[in-house]
Amino acid sequence: MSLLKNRKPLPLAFMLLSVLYFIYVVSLGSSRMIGDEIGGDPGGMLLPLVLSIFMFIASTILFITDRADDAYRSGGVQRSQRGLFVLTIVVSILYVALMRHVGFIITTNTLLITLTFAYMREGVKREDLALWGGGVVGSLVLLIAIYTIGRRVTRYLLLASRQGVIPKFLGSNGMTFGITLVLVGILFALVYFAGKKLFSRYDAAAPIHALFQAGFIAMVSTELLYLIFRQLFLVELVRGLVSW
Amino acid sequence: MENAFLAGLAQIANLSTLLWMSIGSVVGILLGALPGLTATMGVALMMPISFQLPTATGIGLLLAVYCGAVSGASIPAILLGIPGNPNAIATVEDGLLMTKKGKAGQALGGAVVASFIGGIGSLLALVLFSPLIARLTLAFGPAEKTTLALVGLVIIASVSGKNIWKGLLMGAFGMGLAFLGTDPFSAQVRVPFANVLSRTPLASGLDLTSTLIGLFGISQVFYELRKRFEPPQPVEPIEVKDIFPPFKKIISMWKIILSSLGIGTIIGSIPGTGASIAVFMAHNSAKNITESSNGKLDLVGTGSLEGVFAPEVANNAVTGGALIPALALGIPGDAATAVLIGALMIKGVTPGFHLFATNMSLVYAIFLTMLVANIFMALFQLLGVRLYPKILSVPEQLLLPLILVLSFIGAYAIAGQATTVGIYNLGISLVMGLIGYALKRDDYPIAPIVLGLILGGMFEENFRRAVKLAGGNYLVFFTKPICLLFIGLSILSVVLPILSRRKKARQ
Repeated sequence: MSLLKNRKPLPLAFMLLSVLYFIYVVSLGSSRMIGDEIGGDPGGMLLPLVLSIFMFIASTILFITDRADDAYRSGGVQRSQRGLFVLTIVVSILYVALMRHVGFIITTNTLLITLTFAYMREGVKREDLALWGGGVVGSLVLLIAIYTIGRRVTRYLLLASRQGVIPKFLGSNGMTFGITLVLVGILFALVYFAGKKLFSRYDAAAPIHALFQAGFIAMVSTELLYLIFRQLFLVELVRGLVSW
Repeated sequence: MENAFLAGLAQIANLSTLLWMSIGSVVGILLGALPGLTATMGVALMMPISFQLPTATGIGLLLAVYCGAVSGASIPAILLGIPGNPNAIATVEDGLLMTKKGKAGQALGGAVVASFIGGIGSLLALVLFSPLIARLTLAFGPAEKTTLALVGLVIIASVSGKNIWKGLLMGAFGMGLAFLGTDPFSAQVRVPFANVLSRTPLASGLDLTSTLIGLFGISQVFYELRKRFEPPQPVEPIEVKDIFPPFKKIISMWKIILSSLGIGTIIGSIPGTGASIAVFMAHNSAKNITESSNGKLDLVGTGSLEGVFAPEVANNAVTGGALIPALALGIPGDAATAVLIGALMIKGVTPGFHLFATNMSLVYAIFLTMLVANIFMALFQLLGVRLYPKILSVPEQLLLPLILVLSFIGAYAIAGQATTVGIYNLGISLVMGLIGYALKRDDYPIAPIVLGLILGGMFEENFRRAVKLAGGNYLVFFTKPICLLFIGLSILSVVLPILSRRKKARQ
């Protein structure tokens, strides 16, 4: 036990990693260059093998010399932040795992509103759960409505420019992006002012204000990212449940 | 040459490039101004966007972010005494004192002018020296290239952290990550659990952009989450009058400007050193110059413009300096230029003599974009001198989720139309973000991982080629003078820091 006293976990993790890497490289065997009939190629195993041995030596030296002191122990995640830290990791994992099936719009908006609201409330609080749920649903409904209007306008511009109903340049990537951006911008401005008026009767410190701010930021950021990457750069963002 | 220059000019003299560079410049200044967010992170986050643009435009965007972020770090350093990133650490002392004296406007304006001088001066060095150094690489065969990759990796590993073993371990870890994928000579799949993973996008190795975004973007979000959110500090309104330092005053500081320019450019061109070393050296040098000026210059450390000018010239001179080995040799001067090299490589452009010999128009385009990036940086920072301080009042709570999502989307978008690859990239960036967090928390330098990732492939390919050409003789690296020089440099770069640390410890 004294061997492990005051030791940091990372050098140990790297020691383990280098051992596993060594075993893996040996199990893989050495591959030769195509056309190396006369020999001379050191093979594909040599460098990874040397690397794993070097990593083991370096991490062993660090394991022995780099000890955990008080400054190190206090450098981790503060107790008050642990909930937010864990929440961020969990939400990030869910984001990656669900993106393919649920789609970009829903996952991105949910991640943003969840984290922004939790950070603004400085913790994960049980009494905020119902409010958060309502916020997620409300922001999703609004966002999907605005997204749908944006999509319709874009499709109309593309189709009408192809059919010659409107000038051709209006159907270009840049123009459809610009026009849709202006339109959804106006819609978001309306949502903002309506929300401000609706929630003005609540106390300034009420969590509903934080939720509104988080929801608004989430909706605007998600739609803006969608427009930039999908419409301007033609990146295939996963549609998922919002398939239109 | 004239034709190549005109072709280079044509690549950037269009509305799209100028627009993207303007956006990059403003984004860079904002990122630089936000404490905790670095130039490298900004460049990594913008990489996926640059990937969607023509090569010169994309590189212009990244350079604009880079120059903007280095310069923007002076804003919180001067107004709040908190450097936006380590590049502005030495600006704090005199900058904050100037603010307390009611000269915040002049300090901010002086910092912009100094950054501009530093950026343009180092650009001249870049234009003069990078083609010459690239020409030297004509004499490089596989053996020389192997030892060049080794020296780049070892230097950055040995100087970029407090503990040399941590740097070397990170360099080796980066190389290990670079070896994942497919053997370059036999096409053998080299991923663990090959039965499963060889059928996935991981069979061709880790995506560089996603890895960089994870290491610099996502890890920073986790890192910032360790401590309780601090409420933004109030910033006093700034008097806009007298933003420009008097021309006579600037001329009187010529010695400080030249010494800081030289220090920044030289330090920047040494792989792994970076701006945080250059700014202190320039600050020290300026201190000596002002002390021996017989009262002609204001003393550094007393809230003088000289104390702001020196580090700000130096940190922007690092940008051009760091690009010299990056463009000429493919060895980045700092982490941000490592990401820039990554962006070039994704575009199929390999830095080195080949680039100078076959694509001189792109080289000129890069030089020109560097010039435009510096002009935009100065222009937008001066125009927004009253607006940028407002960014300091944006709470972290709103910024961190946005950075997280931008990082994820950046990693995903690099796959373009391939959604499956995009999802894998999301996973890679998250895993690398968590690894990056653990490493940062324990004070392990990240830059050597990036170097290992970029140089690992070059090292392996040239190593095997060199040994094969020598008929299996491993001593081939000790028979060529250039190789011996590089091996000597590698040994020195490991031994000297160890000796210097021991000496310091004894003292």
